[in-house]
Amino acid sequence: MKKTFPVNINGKIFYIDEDAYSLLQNYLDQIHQAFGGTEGDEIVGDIENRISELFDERIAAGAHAIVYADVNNVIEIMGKPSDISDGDPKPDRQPQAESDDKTCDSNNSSNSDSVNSNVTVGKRLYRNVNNKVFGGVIGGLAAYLGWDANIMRLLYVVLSFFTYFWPLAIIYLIAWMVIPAANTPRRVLEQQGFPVTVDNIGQNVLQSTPPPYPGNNSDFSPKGVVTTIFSLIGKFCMTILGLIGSVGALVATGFFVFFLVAFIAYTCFHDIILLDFINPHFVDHVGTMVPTVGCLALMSFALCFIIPALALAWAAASYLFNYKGAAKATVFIALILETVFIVATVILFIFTDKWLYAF
Amino acid sequence: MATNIDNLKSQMRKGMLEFCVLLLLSKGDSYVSEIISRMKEAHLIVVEGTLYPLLTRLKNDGLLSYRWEESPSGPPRKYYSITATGQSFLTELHRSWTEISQTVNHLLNENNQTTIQS
Repeated sequence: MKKTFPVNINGKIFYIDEDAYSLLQNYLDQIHQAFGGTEGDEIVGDIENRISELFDERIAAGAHAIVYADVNNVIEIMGKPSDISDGDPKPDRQPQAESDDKTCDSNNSSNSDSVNSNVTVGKRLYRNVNNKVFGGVIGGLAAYLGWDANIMRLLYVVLSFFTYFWPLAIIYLIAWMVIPAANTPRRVLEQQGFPVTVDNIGQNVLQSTPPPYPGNNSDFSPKGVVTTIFSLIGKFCMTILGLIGSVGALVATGFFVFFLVAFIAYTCFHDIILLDFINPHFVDHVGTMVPTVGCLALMSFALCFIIPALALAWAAASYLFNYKGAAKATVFIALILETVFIVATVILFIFTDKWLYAF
Repeated sequence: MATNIDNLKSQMRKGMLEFCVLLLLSKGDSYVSEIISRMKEAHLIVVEGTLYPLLTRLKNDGLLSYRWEESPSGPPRKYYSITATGQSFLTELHRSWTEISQTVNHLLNENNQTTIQS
Protein backbone atom coordinates (compact mmCIF):
# COMPACT_ATOMS: atom_id res chain seq x y z
CA MET A 1 0.00 0.00 0.00
CA LYS A 2 1.35 3.40 -0.94
CA LYS A 3 0.27 6.96 -0.57
CA THR A 4 -0.80 8.50 -3.86
CA PHE A 5 -1.43 12.09 -4.71
CA PRO A 6 -2.35 14.13 -7.75
CA VAL A 7 0.28 16.12 -9.62
CA ASN A 8 -0.17 18.56 -12.44
CA ILE A 9 2.28 17.91 -15.25
CA ASN A 10 1.86 20.32 -18.11
CA GLY A 11 -1.81 20.91 -17.41
CA LYS A 12 -2.77 17.29 -16.96
CA ILE A 13 -3.54 15.64 -13.66
CA PHE A 14 -1.87 12.35 -12.85
CA TYR A 15 -2.14 10.27 -9.73
CA ILE A 16 1.35 9.33 -8.71
CA ASP A 17 2.77 7.22 -5.89
CA GLU A 18 4.79 8.98 -3.25
CA ASP A 19 8.08 7.21 -4.01
CA ALA A 20 7.58 7.65 -7.74
CA TYR A 21 6.94 11.33 -7.15
CA SER A 22 10.13 11.93 -5.19
CA LEU A 23 12.15 10.07 -7.81
CA LEU A 24 10.66 12.18 -10.58
CA GLN A 25 11.11 15.38 -8.61
CA ASN A 26 14.75 14.63 -7.97
CA TYR A 27 15.29 13.68 -11.58
CA LEU A 28 13.88 16.97 -12.81
CA ASP A 29 15.83 18.88 -10.15
CA GLN A 30 19.03 17.30 -11.36
CA ILE A 31 18.36 18.16 -14.97
CA HIS A 32 17.59 21.68 -13.93
CA GLN A 33 20.83 21.88 -11.99
CA ALA A 34 22.81 20.49 -14.89
CA PHE A 35 21.70 23.33 -17.15
CA GLY A 36 20.71 26.06 -14.74
CA GLY A 37 18.91 29.34 -15.24
CA THR A 38 16.31 30.01 -17.89
CA GLU A 39 17.76 27.38 -20.19
CA GLY A 40 17.20 24.81 -17.46
CA ASP A 41 13.63 26.05 -16.98
CA GLU A 42 12.92 25.65 -20.65
CA ILE A 43 14.49 22.21 -20.98
CA VAL A 44 12.77 20.94 -17.87
CA GLY A 45 9.52 22.37 -19.24
CA ASP A 46 9.98 20.48 -22.50
CA ILE A 47 10.90 17.30 -20.70
CA GLU A 48 7.87 17.61 -18.42
CA ASN A 49 5.83 18.03 -21.55
CA ARG A 50 7.14 14.79 -22.90
CA ILE A 51 6.79 13.00 -19.56
CA SER A 52 3.17 14.06 -19.51
CA GLU A 53 2.71 12.45 -22.92
CA LEU A 54 4.43 9.26 -21.81
CA PHE A 55 2.31 9.06 -18.66
CA ASP A 56 -0.75 9.71 -20.74
CA GLU A 57 0.11 6.63 -22.76
CA ARG A 58 0.37 4.63 -19.55
CA ILE A 59 -3.03 5.83 -18.39
CA ALA A 60 -4.52 5.16 -21.82
CA ALA A 61 -3.13 1.62 -21.55
CA GLY A 62 -5.24 1.13 -18.44
CA ALA A 63 -3.01 2.18 -15.53
CA HIS A 64 -4.77 4.04 -12.72
CA ALA A 65 -1.76 5.65 -11.14
CA ILE A 66 1.86 6.32 -12.02
CA VAL A 67 4.08 3.95 -10.07
CA TYR A 68 7.78 3.82 -9.40
CA ALA A 69 8.47 1.53 -12.36
CA ASP A 70 6.76 3.98 -14.71
CA VAL A 71 9.04 6.79 -13.61
CA ASN A 72 12.06 4.53 -13.92
CA ASN A 73 10.89 3.67 -17.40
CA VAL A 74 10.54 7.33 -18.29
CA ILE A 75 14.03 8.04 -16.98
CA GLU A 76 15.32 5.19 -19.12
CA ILE A 77 13.63 6.68 -22.18
CA MET A 78 14.73 10.22 -21.45
CA GLY A 79 18.21 9.33 -20.29
CA LYS A 80 20.19 10.11 -17.16
CA PRO A 81 20.95 13.74 -16.47
CA SER A 82 24.59 13.08 -17.33
CA ASP A 83 23.58 11.71 -20.75
CA ILE A 84 21.35 14.66 -21.40
CA SER A 85 23.86 17.32 -20.47
CA ASP A 86 26.49 15.55 -22.57
CA GLY A 87 24.50 16.44 -25.62
CA ASP A 88 24.96 20.07 -24.79
CA PRO A 89 28.45 21.11 -25.77
CA LYS A 90 29.01 24.18 -23.65
CA PRO A 91 31.57 26.51 -25.18
CA ASP A 92 34.09 26.03 -22.39
CA ARG A 93 33.76 22.30 -22.45
CA GLN A 94 36.61 20.36 -24.01
CA PRO A 95 35.73 17.48 -26.29
CA GLN A 96 38.25 15.43 -24.33
CA ALA A 97 36.37 15.96 -21.08
CA GLU A 98 33.16 15.05 -22.80
CA SER A 99 34.50 11.75 -24.01
CA ASP A 100 35.86 11.10 -20.53
CA ASP A 101 32.42 11.61 -19.13
CA LYS A 102 31.04 9.24 -21.65
CA THR A 103 33.57 6.57 -20.81
CA CYS A 104 32.84 6.85 -17.14
CA ASP A 105 29.19 6.52 -17.82
CA SER A 106 29.43 3.49 -20.01
CA ASN A 107 31.70 1.84 -17.47
CA ASN A 108 29.08 2.71 -14.91
CA SER A 109 31.60 1.92 -12.19
CA SER A 110 32.70 5.43 -11.38
CA ASN A 111 29.36 6.97 -12.02
CA SER A 112 29.94 9.54 -9.32
CA ASP A 113 32.72 11.16 -11.31
CA SER A 114 30.57 11.87 -14.30
CA VAL A 115 27.83 13.30 -12.15
CA ASN A 116 30.29 15.30 -10.12
CA SER A 117 30.69 17.80 -12.89
CA ASN A 118 26.98 18.56 -12.98
CA VAL A 119 25.69 18.18 -9.46
CA THR A 120 27.22 19.55 -6.31
CA VAL A 121 28.37 16.79 -4.04
CA GLY A 122 29.56 17.02 -0.48
CA LYS A 123 28.28 16.41 2.98
CA ARG A 124 25.76 18.88 4.23
CA LEU A 125 24.50 19.42 7.72
CA TYR A 126 20.93 18.30 8.29
CA ARG A 127 19.04 17.12 11.32
CA ASN A 128 19.00 13.35 11.29
CA VAL A 129 15.36 12.36 11.52
CA ASN A 130 16.25 8.68 11.39
CA ASN A 131 18.53 8.83 14.40
CA LYS A 132 17.14 11.22 16.93
CA VAL A 133 16.27 11.67 20.59
CA PHE A 134 14.81 15.19 20.48
CA GLY A 135 15.24 16.89 17.14
CA GLY A 136 18.07 14.90 15.61
CA VAL A 137 20.54 17.79 15.93
CA ILE A 138 23.32 15.70 17.43
CA GLY A 139 22.49 12.75 15.17
CA GLY A 140 22.87 15.11 12.22
CA LEU A 141 26.09 16.59 13.55
CA ALA A 142 27.46 13.09 14.07
CA ALA A 143 26.57 12.15 10.49
CA TYR A 144 28.23 15.34 9.29
CA LEU A 145 31.43 14.79 11.25
CA GLY A 146 31.39 11.03 10.76
CA TRP A 147 31.32 10.37 14.53
CA ASP A 148 29.24 7.99 16.52
CA ALA A 149 25.99 9.65 17.50
CA ASN A 150 25.80 8.10 20.96
CA ILE A 151 29.31 9.18 21.88
CA MET A 152 28.39 12.72 20.85
CA ARG A 153 25.24 12.54 22.97
CA LEU A 154 27.23 11.44 25.99
CA LEU A 155 29.69 14.26 25.33
CA TYR A 156 26.82 16.71 25.09
CA VAL A 157 25.33 15.59 28.40
CA VAL A 158 28.69 15.74 30.16
CA LEU A 159 29.38 19.20 28.74
CA SER A 160 25.89 20.26 29.82
CA PHE A 161 26.67 19.38 33.42
CA PHE A 162 29.86 21.42 33.36
CA THR A 163 28.13 24.45 31.86
CA TYR A 164 25.07 24.50 34.14
CA PHE A 165 22.85 23.03 31.40
CA TRP A 166 21.30 26.23 30.02
CA PRO A 167 23.84 27.47 27.43
CA LEU A 168 23.95 24.15 25.62
CA ALA A 169 20.18 23.72 25.87
CA ILE A 170 19.66 27.09 24.22
CA ILE A 171 22.24 26.29 21.53
CA TYR A 172 20.43 23.01 20.94
CA LEU A 173 17.05 24.71 20.59
CA ILE A 174 18.46 27.29 18.16
CA ALA A 175 20.15 24.55 16.13
CA TRP A 176 16.87 22.62 16.09
CA MET A 177 15.13 25.64 14.63
CA VAL A 178 17.87 26.66 12.18
CA ILE A 179 19.11 23.35 10.76
CA PRO A 180 16.72 21.80 8.24
CA ALA A 181 15.63 18.21 8.68
CA ALA A 182 16.89 15.53 6.29
CA ASN A 183 13.37 14.71 5.25
CA THR A 184 13.80 14.15 1.51
CA PRO A 185 15.81 11.44 -0.24
CA ARG A 186 18.07 14.09 -1.70
CA ARG A 187 18.84 15.53 1.72
CA VAL A 188 19.48 12.12 3.21
CA LEU A 189 22.02 11.46 0.46
CA GLU A 190 23.64 14.85 0.94
CA GLN A 191 23.79 14.28 4.67
CA GLN A 192 25.74 11.09 4.19
CA GLY A 193 27.89 12.63 1.48
CA PHE A 194 26.70 10.35 -1.30
CA PRO A 195 26.48 11.88 -4.75
CA VAL A 196 22.92 12.70 -5.66
CA THR A 197 22.36 10.49 -8.67
CA VAL A 198 19.17 9.05 -9.95
CA ASP A 199 20.38 5.57 -9.06
CA ASN A 200 21.21 6.57 -5.51
CA ILE A 201 17.97 8.40 -5.08
CA GLY A 202 16.12 5.41 -6.44
CA GLN A 203 17.80 3.12 -3.93
CA ASN A 204 17.29 5.58 -1.15
CA VAL A 205 13.62 6.02 -1.94
CA LEU A 206 13.22 2.28 -1.77
CA GLN A 207 15.10 2.11 1.51
CA SER A 208 13.31 4.99 3.11
CA THR A 209 9.89 3.43 2.79
CA PRO A 210 10.10 1.91 6.23
CA PRO A 211 10.38 -1.83 5.82
CA PRO A 212 9.01 -4.04 8.57
CA TYR A 213 11.79 -4.87 11.00
CA PRO A 214 10.52 -7.71 13.13
CA GLY A 215 13.88 -8.25 14.77
CA ASN A 216 14.60 -4.65 15.55
CA ASN A 217 12.70 -4.56 18.83
CA SER A 218 14.77 -7.31 20.32
CA ASP A 219 17.95 -5.43 19.51
CA PHE A 220 19.97 -5.43 22.73
CA SER A 221 23.22 -4.11 21.39
CA PRO A 222 24.87 -1.53 23.65
CA LYS A 223 24.08 1.18 21.10
CA GLY A 224 20.41 0.25 21.14
CA VAL A 225 20.32 0.40 24.93
CA VAL A 226 22.03 3.78 24.99
CA THR A 227 19.59 5.14 22.43
CA THR A 228 16.70 3.81 24.47
CA ILE A 229 18.06 5.35 27.66
CA PHE A 230 18.49 8.70 25.95
CA SER A 231 15.05 8.43 24.49
CA LEU A 232 13.64 7.74 27.97
CA ILE A 233 15.58 10.66 29.44
CA GLY A 234 14.23 12.79 26.61
CA LYS A 235 10.68 11.72 27.33
CA PHE A 236 11.14 12.36 31.04
CA CYS A 237 12.54 15.85 30.46
CA MET A 238 9.78 16.63 27.99
CA THR A 239 7.14 15.46 30.45
CA ILE A 240 8.57 17.77 33.14
CA LEU A 241 8.77 20.67 30.69
CA GLY A 242 5.23 19.97 29.53
CA LEU A 243 3.97 19.99 33.10
CA ILE A 244 5.81 23.23 33.84
CA GLY A 245 4.32 24.74 30.70
CA SER A 246 0.78 23.64 31.49
CA VAL A 247 0.91 24.74 35.12
CA GLY A 248 2.58 28.00 34.09
CA ALA A 249 -0.13 28.71 31.54
CA LEU A 250 -2.84 28.00 34.10
CA VAL A 251 -1.24 30.18 36.78
CA ALA A 252 -0.64 33.03 34.32
CA THR A 253 -4.24 32.82 33.10
CA GLY A 254 -5.42 32.82 36.72
CA PHE A 255 -3.45 35.96 37.47
CA PHE A 256 -4.71 37.57 34.29
CA VAL A 257 -8.34 36.88 35.22
CA PHE A 258 -7.74 38.16 38.75
CA PHE A 259 -6.23 41.44 37.48
CA LEU A 260 -9.02 41.74 34.93
CA VAL A 261 -11.68 41.37 37.63
CA ALA A 262 -9.85 43.88 39.82
CA PHE A 263 -9.66 46.28 36.88
CA ILE A 264 -13.38 45.97 36.11
CA ALA A 265 -14.29 46.25 39.78
CA TYR A 266 -12.25 49.42 40.12
CA THR A 267 -13.28 51.17 36.91
CA CYS A 268 -16.99 50.30 37.05
CA PHE A 269 -17.78 50.19 40.76
CA HIS A 270 -14.79 51.96 42.31
CA ASP A 271 -14.40 48.88 44.38
CA ILE A 272 -10.86 48.71 45.73
CA ILE A 273 -11.06 45.50 47.72
CA LEU A 274 -9.25 43.48 45.08
CA LEU A 275 -6.72 46.25 44.48
CA ASP A 276 -6.05 46.33 48.19
CA PHE A 277 -5.55 42.64 48.01
CA ILE A 278 -2.82 43.11 45.41
CA ASN A 279 -1.19 45.88 47.39
CA PRO A 280 -2.65 47.74 50.39
CA HIS A 281 -1.09 51.01 49.22
CA PHE A 282 -2.38 50.63 45.70
CA VAL A 283 -4.81 53.55 45.79
CA ASP A 284 -3.40 55.62 48.63
CA HIS A 285 0.00 55.93 47.22
CA VAL A 286 -0.77 57.36 43.82
CA GLY A 287 -3.27 59.49 41.98
CA THR A 288 -6.67 58.37 40.78
CA MET A 289 -5.63 57.62 37.23
CA VAL A 290 -2.79 55.28 37.97
CA PRO A 291 -4.50 52.23 39.51
CA THR A 292 -6.25 51.43 36.22
CA VAL A 293 -2.98 51.72 34.34
CA GLY A 294 -1.31 49.63 36.99
CA CYS A 295 -3.96 46.96 36.57
CA LEU A 296 -3.50 47.00 32.81
CA ALA A 297 0.24 46.69 33.28
CA LEU A 298 -0.21 43.68 35.53
CA MET A 299 -2.69 42.15 33.06
CA SER A 300 -0.33 42.42 30.15
CA PHE A 301 2.50 41.20 32.36
CA ALA A 302 0.47 38.05 33.02
CA LEU A 303 -0.30 37.75 29.31
CA CYS A 304 3.43 37.78 28.53
CA PHE A 305 3.79 34.44 30.30
CA ILE A 306 0.82 32.68 28.77
CA ILE A 307 2.17 32.28 25.23
CA PRO A 308 5.62 30.92 26.16
CA ALA A 309 4.04 28.57 28.70
CA LEU A 310 1.53 27.32 26.16
CA ALA A 311 4.28 26.95 23.57
CA LEU A 312 6.32 24.88 26.01
CA ALA A 313 3.34 22.66 26.81
CA TRP A 314 2.55 22.26 23.13
CA ALA A 315 6.13 21.44 22.19
CA ALA A 316 6.28 18.81 24.91
CA ALA A 317 2.96 17.33 23.88
CA SER A 318 3.91 17.23 20.22
CA TYR A 319 7.15 15.48 21.12
CA LEU A 320 5.53 12.95 23.41
CA PHE A 321 2.45 12.20 21.35
CA ASN A 322 3.82 12.76 17.86
CA TYR A 323 1.66 15.72 17.04
CA LYS A 324 2.43 17.76 14.02
CA GLY A 325 4.48 20.87 14.76
CA ALA A 326 2.76 24.22 14.85
CA ALA A 327 1.98 25.86 11.52
CA LYS A 328 4.30 28.71 10.55
CA ALA A 329 1.42 31.21 10.60
CA THR A 330 0.52 30.23 14.16
CA VAL A 331 4.08 30.64 15.33
CA PHE A 332 4.30 33.98 13.56
CA ILE A 333 1.11 35.32 15.10
CA ALA A 334 2.12 34.05 18.53
CA LEU A 335 5.48 35.84 18.20
CA ILE A 336 3.79 39.09 17.18
CA LEU A 337 1.32 38.87 20.07
CA GLU A 338 4.13 38.12 22.49
CA THR A 339 6.08 41.14 21.26
CA VAL A 340 3.00 43.35 21.62
CA PHE A 341 2.42 42.13 25.18
CA ILE A 342 6.01 42.69 26.19
CA VAL A 343 6.09 46.19 24.69
CA ALA A 344 2.73 47.02 26.29
CA THR A 345 3.95 45.77 29.66
CA VAL A 346 7.11 47.82 29.51
CA ILE A 347 5.27 50.98 28.47
CA LEU A 348 2.54 50.54 31.06
CA PHE A 349 5.07 49.93 33.80
CA ILE A 350 6.93 53.06 32.84
CA PHE A 351 3.67 55.00 33.21
CA THR A 352 3.13 53.53 36.62
CA ASP A 353 6.66 53.87 37.87
CA LYS A 354 5.46 55.87 40.83
CA TRP A 355 3.09 53.12 41.66
CA LEU A 356 5.86 50.61 41.50
CA TYR A 357 7.45 52.18 44.56
CA ALA A 358 4.40 51.15 46.49
CA PHE A 359 5.55 47.58 46.48
CA MET B 1 38.54 -0.75 -26.84
CA ALA B 2 34.89 -1.56 -27.17
CA THR B 3 34.00 1.52 -25.19
CA ASN B 4 36.15 3.57 -27.53
CA ILE B 5 34.22 2.39 -30.55
CA ASP B 6 30.93 3.11 -28.83
CA ASN B 7 32.26 6.47 -27.88
CA LEU B 8 33.29 7.26 -31.43
CA LYS B 9 29.95 6.09 -32.75
CA SER B 10 28.08 8.31 -30.34
CA GLN B 11 30.32 11.23 -31.24
CA MET B 12 29.54 10.69 -34.93
CA ARG B 13 25.83 10.51 -34.22
CA LYS B 14 26.00 13.61 -32.10
CA GLY B 15 27.70 15.50 -34.88
CA MET B 16 25.04 14.44 -37.36
CA LEU B 17 22.12 15.09 -35.05
CA GLU B 18 21.85 18.84 -35.56
CA PHE B 19 22.18 18.45 -39.30
CA CYS B 20 19.42 15.83 -39.38
CA VAL B 21 17.09 17.85 -37.17
CA LEU B 22 17.52 20.87 -39.43
CA LEU B 23 17.01 18.69 -42.51
CA LEU B 24 13.83 17.23 -41.07
CA LEU B 25 12.44 20.64 -40.19
CA SER B 26 13.35 22.13 -43.58
CA LYS B 27 10.80 19.75 -45.09
CA GLY B 28 8.08 21.04 -42.83
CA ASP B 29 7.22 22.00 -39.28
CA SER B 30 7.16 19.29 -36.71
CA TYR B 31 6.53 18.81 -33.00
CA VAL B 32 8.98 17.36 -30.53
CA SER B 33 7.60 13.84 -30.20
CA GLU B 34 7.56 13.49 -33.98
CA ILE B 35 11.16 14.68 -34.28
CA ILE B 36 12.12 12.24 -31.56
CA SER B 37 10.45 9.27 -33.19
CA ARG B 38 12.03 10.10 -36.55
CA MET B 39 15.48 10.39 -34.98
CA LYS B 40 14.94 7.16 -33.10
CA GLU B 41 13.97 5.38 -36.30
CA ALA B 42 17.26 6.52 -37.77
CA HIS B 43 19.11 5.33 -34.63
CA LEU B 44 20.51 8.80 -34.24
CA ILE B 45 19.54 9.13 -30.62
CA VAL B 46 19.49 6.57 -27.86
CA VAL B 47 17.81 8.55 -25.11
CA GLU B 48 15.22 11.18 -25.82
CA GLY B 49 16.58 13.64 -23.33
CA THR B 50 19.51 14.59 -25.52
CA LEU B 51 17.24 16.24 -28.05
CA TYR B 52 15.73 18.86 -25.73
CA PRO B 53 18.93 20.76 -24.96
CA LEU B 54 19.80 20.60 -28.64
CA LEU B 55 16.48 22.08 -29.74
CA THR B 56 16.71 24.76 -27.08
CA ARG B 57 20.20 25.66 -28.18
CA LEU B 58 19.26 25.79 -31.86
CA LYS B 59 16.30 27.99 -30.94
CA ASN B 60 18.47 30.29 -28.82
CA ASP B 61 20.92 30.57 -31.71
CA GLY B 62 18.07 31.72 -33.92
CA LEU B 63 18.13 28.74 -36.25
CA LEU B 64 14.74 27.49 -35.13
CA SER B 65 11.56 29.05 -33.86
CA TYR B 66 8.56 27.43 -32.24
CA ARG B 67 4.88 27.99 -31.63
CA TRP B 68 2.30 26.27 -29.48
CA GLU B 69 -0.49 24.46 -31.23
CA GLU B 70 -3.49 22.66 -29.83
CA SER B 71 -3.46 18.96 -30.47
CA PRO B 72 -6.56 16.79 -31.01
CA SER B 73 -5.38 14.51 -28.22
CA GLY B 74 -3.67 15.64 -25.06
CA PRO B 75 -1.84 18.83 -24.18
CA PRO B 76 -0.78 21.51 -26.67
CA ARG B 77 2.31 20.71 -28.69
CA LYS B 78 5.43 22.69 -29.37
CA TYR B 79 5.81 22.98 -33.14
CA TYR B 80 9.30 23.81 -34.32
CA SER B 81 10.02 25.45 -37.65
CA ILE B 82 13.24 26.47 -39.33
CA THR B 83 14.12 30.15 -39.70
CA ALA B 84 15.85 31.89 -42.59
CA THR B 85 19.12 31.83 -40.65
CA GLY B 86 18.57 28.17 -40.04
CA GLN B 87 18.00 27.60 -43.73
CA SER B 88 21.28 29.24 -44.75
CA PHE B 89 23.05 27.38 -41.92
CA LEU B 90 21.61 24.18 -43.30
CA THR B 91 22.87 24.94 -46.82
CA GLU B 92 26.31 25.47 -45.34
CA LEU B 93 26.12 22.17 -43.45
CA HIS B 94 24.86 20.43 -46.55
CA ARG B 95 27.85 21.61 -48.53
CA SER B 96 30.35 20.39 -45.97
CA TRP B 97 28.44 17.11 -45.62
CA THR B 98 28.68 16.53 -49.36
CA GLU B 99 32.41 17.17 -49.17
CA ILE B 100 32.91 14.83 -46.25
CA SER B 101 30.76 12.08 -47.68
CA GLN B 102 32.54 12.37 -51.03
CA THR B 103 35.90 12.03 -49.33
CA VAL B 104 34.76 9.11 -47.21
CA ASN B 105 33.10 7.38 -50.14
CA HIS B 106 36.17 7.94 -52.23
CA LEU B 107 38.34 6.33 -49.57
CA LEU B 108 35.86 3.49 -49.15
CA ASN B 109 35.85 2.85 -52.89
CA GLU B 110 39.64 2.84 -52.98
CA ASN B 111 39.64 0.34 -50.12
CA ASN B 112 37.11 -1.84 -51.90
CA GLN B 113 39.14 -1.84 -55.06
CA THR B 114 42.33 -2.79 -53.24
CA THR B 115 40.58 -5.59 -51.36
CA ILE B 116 39.10 -6.90 -54.62
CA GLN B 117 42.45 -6.74 -56.35
CA SER B 118 44.31 -8.58 -53.63
